[in-house]
Amino acid sequence: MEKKKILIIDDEEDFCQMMEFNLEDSGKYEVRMETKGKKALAAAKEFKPALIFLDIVMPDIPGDEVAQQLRSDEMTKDIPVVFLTALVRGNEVASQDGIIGGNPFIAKPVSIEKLIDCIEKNTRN
Amino acid sequence: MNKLLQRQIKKFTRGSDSLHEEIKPLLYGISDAYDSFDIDRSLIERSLDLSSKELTDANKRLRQEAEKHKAIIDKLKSILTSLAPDLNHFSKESSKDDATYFINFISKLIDERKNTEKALKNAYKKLKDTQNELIQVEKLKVIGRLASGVSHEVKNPLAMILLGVQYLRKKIKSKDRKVVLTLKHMEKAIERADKIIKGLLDFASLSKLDIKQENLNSIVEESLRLVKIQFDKNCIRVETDLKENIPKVKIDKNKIEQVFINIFMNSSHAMHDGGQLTVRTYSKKLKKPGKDGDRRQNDLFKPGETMVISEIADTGPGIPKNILDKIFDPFFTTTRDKGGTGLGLSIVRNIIQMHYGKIEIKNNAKGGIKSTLFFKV
Repeated sequence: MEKKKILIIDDEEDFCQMMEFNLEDSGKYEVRMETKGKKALAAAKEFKPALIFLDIVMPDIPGDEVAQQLRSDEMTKDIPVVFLTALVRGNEVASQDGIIGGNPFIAKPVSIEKLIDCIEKNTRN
Repeated sequence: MNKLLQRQIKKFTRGSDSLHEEIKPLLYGISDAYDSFDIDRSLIERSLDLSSKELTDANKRLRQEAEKHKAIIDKLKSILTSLAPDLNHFSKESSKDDATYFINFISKLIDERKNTEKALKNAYKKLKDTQNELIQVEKLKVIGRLASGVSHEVKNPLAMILLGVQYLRKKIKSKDRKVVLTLKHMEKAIERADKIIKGLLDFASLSKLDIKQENLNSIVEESLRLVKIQFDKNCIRVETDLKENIPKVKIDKNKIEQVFINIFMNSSHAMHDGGQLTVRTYSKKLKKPGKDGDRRQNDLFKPGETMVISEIADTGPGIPKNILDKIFDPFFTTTRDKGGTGLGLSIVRNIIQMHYGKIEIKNNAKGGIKSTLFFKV
C-alpha cells in the first residue's frame, strides 16, 4: 500500500520531528516537515502531500495566510489543511466537532492516535 | 400743733378752744407723733411713686428683650428648617412650646445624623465591595492575558514531549516495570499540565461573556446529557423538577453549561459507588431583603425582583466542615492524586459572579451536598 504523504508546517522543529517519528513509525505515512511559513507553498507544490498540518502562530508568516496561499494556488487548492495549534483548547475543538471557521483544527498537545484519526478522516483512502 | 389733731380736738370739744392745762403736754406729744407720721407717710408715698416708675421701666425693658428673643428664636427656627426641611412638621407641632420644640428638633437631628452615618457606612461598605469586585475582574483580566500568552508557549513544548514519550513507549520494548511506569507517569504529568493550562484559559475567557436571554431548563438538560455517560458509569440516578414557567435569564450559555457540568462532575466523583442527583429549577420574587442570603446577595437582588434559582443535591458523603470555606479557593483540591487541579469551583464561582449571580454550596441535613445557583432575570 502506498504511503500517504503528510506535510507538517510548524516553526517548532522539535515538535515536527516528534510528529515525523511517530507518523513514520506507524508505517502508513511519509512525512516532510517545513519550519518556514514562507517556504510552505513551494514545499507543498513539490511534495504534493495528501494532507497538510499547519501551525497558526509562526514568526515569519501566520498560518492562516499560508492557508490562503495554498487555497489560491491551482496545484495546492484541493489539499486538505488541518490547523495544528496551541491557541485553542481541546474542549473548544471538541464542541465544534473539530471545525472552526470551515477548517479542521487540532489543539496541541495531541496524542499520536488523534493525529492518525484526523489524517484518516480528512484524506481519501 | 398738728392741724389734723387740732380739727379732731375741736370736733371732740364741740368748738371750745379751752383745754385743760394738765393734758396740754400730752396733746403736744400726740401732735409730734402726728407730725412724724405725716413725714413718714410722705416718705413712703415718694418711695412708692419711685418704685412704680422703676417697675414700669423694667417691665418695658423686659418686653423689649422678649421681643428680641422671639426674633432670635424665629430666626433660629427658620435656619434649622432650612437645614432639615423634612423636619418642618416639628415647627407646626410644637410652636407653642419652644423648649420642647428645640429638644425634639435636636434629638431628631441627632437621629438623622446617626442614620446618615449608618447610610454612609453602608455606602462605604458597598463601595469597598464594588472595588473588590473590580479588583477581582481586573485580576481575572491580568490572569487571562498571562494565561493566554503563557499557554501558547507552554503547550508547544508539552506537545513535543507528549509525542516524544509516546514514541519512546512504542520503541522501548523493555519489560522493566520501572521503565514502563516512568513513561506512563510522564504521559500523565503532561496531561495534568495541559489540564491546568486549560483551567487558566477558562479564567482568561471569563472577561468575554456572550450574554443572551436563555432558558435555564434547556441548559440544565443539555449539561445532564453531556455527563450521562459518566453518571451511568457510576450508577447515578437523576431526578429533575424543572418548572416550566420560569422566566428567561441573561447568561452566557456555554459558561453556565460549564458551571452545571462542573457541579455535576463533582457530584459524580463524590458518588462513585452510586447515588442520586436531584436538579430543581424555579423562580422566586424576592419579598424582603435579607431573607434569601447574605448582604451581597441582597445588594444584587432587590426586593420585588424575580430571580431564577437552580438547586442541585447529591447523596454523596458531603464536604468536611473544616474545608467548607476553602472549596472556592483556586488550586484547592482534595483529588490532586486523581488529577484534580483545584480550579473547577473557583472558575464556577467566577463565572457566576461575572453574571452578577450567586452560588452557595452547603451540606445537606440528610447527607450529601446542595449547590444553589441564583440568577438575575
